[in-house]
Amino acid sequence: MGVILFGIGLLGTFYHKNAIVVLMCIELMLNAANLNFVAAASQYGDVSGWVFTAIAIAIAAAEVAIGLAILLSMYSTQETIALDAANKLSN
Amino acid sequence: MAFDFEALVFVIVAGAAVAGAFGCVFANRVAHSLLWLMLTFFAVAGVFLMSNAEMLAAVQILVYLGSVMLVVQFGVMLTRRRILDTDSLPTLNVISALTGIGVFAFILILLREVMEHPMWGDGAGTAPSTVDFAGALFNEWSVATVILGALLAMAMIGASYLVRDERLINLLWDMGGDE
Repeated sequence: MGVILFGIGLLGTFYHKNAIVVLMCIELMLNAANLNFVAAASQYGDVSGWVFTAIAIAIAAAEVAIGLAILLSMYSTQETIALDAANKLSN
Repeated sequence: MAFDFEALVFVIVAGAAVAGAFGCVFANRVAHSLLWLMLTFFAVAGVFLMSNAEMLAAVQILVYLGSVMLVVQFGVMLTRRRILDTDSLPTLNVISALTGIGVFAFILILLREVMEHPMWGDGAGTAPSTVDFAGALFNEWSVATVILGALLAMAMIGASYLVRDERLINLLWDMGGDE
């Protein structure tokens, strides 16, 4: 089930051009990995899987905050959040 | 009759998670895909509960549903030009569809190779408890916890700096001027 969620999130990341939806699909992929961590931890009786999951949740929260900050500053300069418009570095 | 309720509950929760994922990816509006993602997070917290990880289910609901989705919702609200904007229509072409399916198939093949490794024996121990989790987090993984705290602080400071507002009117208002 973790693989299914990861695959759907991956499809969504490549598919959408709205930056917020891409961020949400990245969150989906992170949740899929957390599912695998917890399942392995509960099956083998090892609590390290839970610790990894907690660390991954915290890092995902930090990454969403920074991603949205970048998005908001892109919106304030370019008035759009379509990822097609993020081509300032190309010629 | 010997009906396996645990399997039934797992099927319901897993179905909700997959339905939420599909709804998130294929919704027409950004706010709708946000709501579908919240359903997925609820279902993932349900799977955590079924794996005897109550603390992680609570953390998942608090952090993801309570903070991450709230922040993303603020992002959605602050970047809409009109309420009926349908910016999130995907740019589908053959290349992106084939890429997605190809990567998905590759992951499935990798997973099958990994699962055949003899390391994955039968589940040995019983599920750990929340007290074990707390002990591990602060004794065995204490360095990781401290570094995680520092990382979160850096992330918050960076995010606050990125969205600073340097317009003169607002700076004067902050300093209490009457101009």
